Amino acid sequence: MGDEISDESLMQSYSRGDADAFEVLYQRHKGPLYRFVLRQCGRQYAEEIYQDIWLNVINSRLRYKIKATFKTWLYQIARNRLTDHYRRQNVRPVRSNPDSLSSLTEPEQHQPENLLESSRQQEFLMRAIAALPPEQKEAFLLKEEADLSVDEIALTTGVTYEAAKSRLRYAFKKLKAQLETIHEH
Amino acid sequence: MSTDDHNISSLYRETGGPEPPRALDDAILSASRTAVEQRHAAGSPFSGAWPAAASIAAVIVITVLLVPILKQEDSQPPASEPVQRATAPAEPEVAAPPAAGLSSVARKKSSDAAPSASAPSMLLQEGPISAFQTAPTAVSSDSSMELLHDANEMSYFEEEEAPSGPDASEHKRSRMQAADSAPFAINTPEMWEARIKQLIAQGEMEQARAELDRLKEHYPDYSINPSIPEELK
Repeated sequence: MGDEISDESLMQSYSRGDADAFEVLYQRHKGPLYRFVLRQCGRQYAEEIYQDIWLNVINSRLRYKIKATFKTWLYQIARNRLTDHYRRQNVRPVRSNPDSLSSLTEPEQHQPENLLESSRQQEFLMRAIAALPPEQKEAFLLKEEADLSVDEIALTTGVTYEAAKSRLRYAFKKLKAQLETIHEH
Repeated sequence: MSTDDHNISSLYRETGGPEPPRALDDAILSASRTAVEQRHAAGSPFSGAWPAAASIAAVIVITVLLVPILKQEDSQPPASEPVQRATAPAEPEVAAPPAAGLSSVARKKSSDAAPSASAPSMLLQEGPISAFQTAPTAVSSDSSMELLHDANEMSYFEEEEAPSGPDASEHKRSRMQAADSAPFAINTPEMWEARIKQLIAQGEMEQARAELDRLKEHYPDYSINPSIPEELK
């Protein structure tokens, strides 16, 4: 993958008029970004917000400058759009979202026993993620979906490195505690 | 990152997860292409800043071409204007001595004078001073040339036929004024003197006196031939 063109180069190519570069960029980030949005605002708003984020990227292409990674920029846009959504809806970020669990697993009766256990764990994990406080959930999703480092999470969310690290630590701690309850049952 | 954290990450990634609907993908990719195409269209030679630049260039070219033409037209009086000026009742402050017929040298000098851009507007000024001033530079417009020709052809010695009767004095007066406004070079007081002498010889004593007064006014330091005032007494 060493020959892979960087996100930043692709975005610059797109800003110079190469539509194919945008398609490559889109295919790379569409899944993680969609899930990042879906797991914070629910299916009801996810598609609209997701589309707005990409339209914002398209419309901002001429102003794009490489100051940080493309991913940091993309998720900053996403985060701003989500914040705007919360403000408009006058709601806090969702803490528990049943939609986020909808596509988790196949029906249990068709799965072998070891898969069944794994599937159960995944279901528990998703419920635990949905129940995380918004800041911790955001930090967790930025790490797991966007594959951002702690530094990049801090930059994207506008907090200090320590705060970002702390949010991540608490998120993992809570998730671990939730998963341990499976074994207790 | 602890082993437990790794396990949680692995478990999360195994879940995979939903992808955006195909229709949404298509809409976004279509929007991305449309934006680029619009940009390309905006960059075409006849869009963006080009029309404004072309308009400015066109205005400049038209201005550069038209202004001199309009100026030239403004400076050219209508064909009837020389006659009107010639027949205008207003007397110049100091009438210039007519130059036509003074000497062939003077006449030639006047008619051979080189055209000058400043001449047309100055030619329209009244009075002998302007005539004196404009005489060395001469004329560029056709109407001025016509005026010059008219005045040159006009003679105070009545070489041509003049109307008789009540129209005669009016005709003479208009011809004289045309000559006054013509850019003839009355270069020297000697020429003026010669003109006065000719008037005396013709018996135009009143006119000769008037010319003498003007000569004195224009050349106060010039010593006039004493025979002229004698003859006019």
